[in-house]
Amino acid sequence: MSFAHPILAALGVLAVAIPIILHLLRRKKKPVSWGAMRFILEAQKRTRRRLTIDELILLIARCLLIGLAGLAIARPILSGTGPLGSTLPTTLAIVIDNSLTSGVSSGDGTELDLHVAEALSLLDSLDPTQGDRASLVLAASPAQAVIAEPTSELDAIRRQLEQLEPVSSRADLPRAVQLASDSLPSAESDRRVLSVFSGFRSGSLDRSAAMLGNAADRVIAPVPATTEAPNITVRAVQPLRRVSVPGDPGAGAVRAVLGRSGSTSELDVEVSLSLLSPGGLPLELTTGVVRFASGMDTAQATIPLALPDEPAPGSALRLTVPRDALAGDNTAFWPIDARERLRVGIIADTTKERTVSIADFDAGAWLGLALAPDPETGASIEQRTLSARSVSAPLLRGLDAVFLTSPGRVDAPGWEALGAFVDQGGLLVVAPEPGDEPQLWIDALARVTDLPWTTSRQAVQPDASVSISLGTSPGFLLPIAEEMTALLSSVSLERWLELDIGGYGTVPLVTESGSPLLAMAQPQREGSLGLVAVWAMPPVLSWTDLPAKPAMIPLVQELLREGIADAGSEPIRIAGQPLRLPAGVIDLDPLDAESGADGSQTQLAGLYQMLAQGGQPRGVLGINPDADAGSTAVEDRDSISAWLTPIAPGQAVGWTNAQEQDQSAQVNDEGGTPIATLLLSLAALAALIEVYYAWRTSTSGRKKRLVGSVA
Amino acid sequence: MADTPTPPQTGESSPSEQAQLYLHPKTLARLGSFELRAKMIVEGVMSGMHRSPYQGVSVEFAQHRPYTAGDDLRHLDWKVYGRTDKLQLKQYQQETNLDLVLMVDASGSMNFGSRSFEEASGTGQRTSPRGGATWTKFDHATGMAAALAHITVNQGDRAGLVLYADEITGLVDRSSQRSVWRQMVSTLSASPVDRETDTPRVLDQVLAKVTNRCLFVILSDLYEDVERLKAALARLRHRGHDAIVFQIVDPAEQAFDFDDPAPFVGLEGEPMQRINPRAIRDAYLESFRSHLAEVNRITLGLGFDYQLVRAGDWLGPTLASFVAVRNAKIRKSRSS
Repeated sequence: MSFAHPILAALGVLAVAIPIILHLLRRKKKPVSWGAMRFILEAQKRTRRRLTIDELILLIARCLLIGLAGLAIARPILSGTGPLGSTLPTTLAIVIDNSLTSGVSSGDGTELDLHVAEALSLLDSLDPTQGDRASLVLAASPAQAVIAEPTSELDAIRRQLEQLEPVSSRADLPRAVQLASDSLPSAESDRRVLSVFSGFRSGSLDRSAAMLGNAADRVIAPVPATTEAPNITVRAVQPLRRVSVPGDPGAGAVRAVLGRSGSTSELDVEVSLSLLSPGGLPLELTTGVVRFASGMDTAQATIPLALPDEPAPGSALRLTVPRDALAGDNTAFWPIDARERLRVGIIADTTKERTVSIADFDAGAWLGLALAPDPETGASIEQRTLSARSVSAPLLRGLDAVFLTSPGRVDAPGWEALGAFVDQGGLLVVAPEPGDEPQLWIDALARVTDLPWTTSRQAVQPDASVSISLGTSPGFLLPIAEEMTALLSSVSLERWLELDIGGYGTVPLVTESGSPLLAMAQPQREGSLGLVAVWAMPPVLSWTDLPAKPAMIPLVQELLREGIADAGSEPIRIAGQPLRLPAGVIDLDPLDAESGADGSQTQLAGLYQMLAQGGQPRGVLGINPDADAGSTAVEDRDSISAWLTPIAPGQAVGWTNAQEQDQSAQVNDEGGTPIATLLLSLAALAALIEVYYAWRTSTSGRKKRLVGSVA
Repeated sequence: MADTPTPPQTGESSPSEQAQLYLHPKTLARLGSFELRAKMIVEGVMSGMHRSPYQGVSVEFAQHRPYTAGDDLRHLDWKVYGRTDKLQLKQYQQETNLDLVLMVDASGSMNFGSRSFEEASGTGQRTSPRGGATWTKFDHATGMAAALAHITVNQGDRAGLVLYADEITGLVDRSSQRSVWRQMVSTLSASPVDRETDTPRVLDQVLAKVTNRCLFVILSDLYEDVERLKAALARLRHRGHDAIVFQIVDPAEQAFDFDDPAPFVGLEGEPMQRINPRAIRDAYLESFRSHLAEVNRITLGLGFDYQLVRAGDWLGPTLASFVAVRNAKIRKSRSS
């Protein structure tokens, strides 16, 4: 056993000699000459046995009182009898935080390096020959029990610890503690010790989840970090135009969002944008500045950007900030959605081929015209006209978007095929039938998409035409909101359907009275990746003059491009969070990451090649660091202690000192130790015994009735 | 005890001065009017105030007996001869003197005292003739012996002294001279007080030497075996002697109110004992009081008188009270 204050411990042991010395000094007193000695001898003979026992107990109680109090003050360290202060076999569950914030630089290495050293030191104090065992859980989300079953093969745990590197996800300490507690035996034959190695910075803490209760007999943790390290986190990078086709590389500008911790003053951060191409060197594109206002912990900026005309498939944008205390969150990716062309299906019984007057153009014809206004640029959009009565899954295969202008003529199998198309990530744009017959198709649409949308059966036809404007949530029109407002000012509307979206979705266009004219939403169906857009009026001149106005082309083009970008899953994920891979993708192959992914979870930021069955590439997925995990703010030790206490109720957390090399279960001053409390309790018991026997030997049954008297 | 203590003595003191240390004039004045009478019939060698077992020349008629040849004709009762024509001799009760034998215990245990000599003696003298600073039980016995001897010789009787421990260590022959008590004090003051005690043995030795019936006064703490003491006193009683037992104890021995643990060593060679006085006090007092009660019981059971005496108390009232009570009992028994 060792002590936090060895000198006090030595003094405590020496103090045990005080009662013994007093006892011996008492024997040095000058003898008293006594006449009636025969009565003393008689009394001694009668009381000797009891008095000898009483005095022995008294001496022992006094020695124990002083000794125990001295040892308790010296704060014994639980490493004496067993490696962790117990004679019982010890099962040690190590939870180590290898999350993003564990990479904070701390002197010679990262905090993770220090915690690994502590854990190794703690392992060294175990004795497998005495039945000591250990298990290992990594706390980075998703928490993993690397060695779930306690083992006496401690070298295996050492090897795992020595290979640890910080990952890009946040820490899930509650889940990690639960996994660790699952590895601890329930029998009382073992002493269960749970050690949580973390800096307990804000980025590692998720207070929303409570710690598992009563999981161990003791909790050991390093002293939480006390100094904030100034850190910049790239929270997001996203191009304004996300789909790139030949002749229109997209992007145009990139929105960069940064977060910070450890400082609050005004700060300019230079960011650099580069293009990563498969097999090629990074191409520096541009730089920009993101300015943090004083007191603000997030900032964003839009950085103009010109992409190469035809970025190679699998290319990605990378935003980087200068290296700081935490390097793991200095980079974020955005894979570019580069396509050879956009494939659009128009379901309409078009009359375009047979008419020469635009007055006879139906909705399909107007849409086709809007999608390919210029034969040169229109080559990037491949149009395919489909009959409403022949809609089927094979016909829809390979299309990126479908414009349905005759929904009333699609039969039930057709609607099923359209629903499946949307589920797989397609964009479906529906416009009403231009005729006067009742509009019943909305029911079929609602059935296959689970959208709570309804329309009136008949068109609303006011006495005078009304104007069109942007809605309060313009959605894909937001980047060009100013231009569109101007263009829409000349558009008039003669009739439309009353569209009720039930509060679900965005409404880019409305009438002047606020009635929705265009609504967009993802289906509510579980697992559906696509996007549905519904017009409240068909783009025909009998309903509105929009098809003939300049607003028609940018409206349809943006609807197509942004709709396709919004449909399907985003090309990025957050490290450590569950992956929802696009349909058909079964594996990920790292392109830029340092290690592979397991197909369902990734912890390391980087670019990954999505692979379908048979190894067919299905695009690139970017995994970015968990920005919320990048906070290096420090937490109050008391609150952390309160958070950890449920693991071992009634036991104070044994804080170890991360700044010292010999950290095995070093109990600091504030943490307290159960054995000190136990020693104090025993000292109090010894004091009670001392008081009782001192009273007993000093009174010697004085209350007993005396016999014999002489008048 | 002393209302007008004498100034402190300095230098070597004379025998008379030593005697005055133990027998203060006030004590003598207090005892002056008392007589120490024998409860039983004693056999003195001189005429005195005590009844003798023998008839002889006296004034108190006892009985008639027939005349036999050789009887002194002066004792013929001529009046009886004139009435009955028989020769009858008149016999008278002989009265004799009292022989007081003072037996003073000089064993080691008697050399214990808790009160200062200066205070207890009332003379201003700081140390005893033997150099002790405390008024020991032996000092008290010395004073009592001197006082009793003084009373005895004053009433015309004889007093003698037997000083003893485990055997007789000193003697003062019985005498009726007025200075005998001073002689006793001188003898007592010069005697060592450090040996073991054996009162029964010494009693037997004294009985072997005494031929006439005497009044024995035992001055001792009697810290010895009660059964042997009882047997010895019974032999004393059987020989027709009278006895008074003064058991002298020290107030500290009675109270035993020590607080701190300390080693205790006996004055008669008992081994040293390290004791916690508070722890054994009750057991000690129980033994002590039981012993006193037992001595009292056997003494009274044999028809002797018993008096517990606290060393250091003023002799005058103690002795006066005791003698007065004893004399009253004697008169009452004779009248009945």
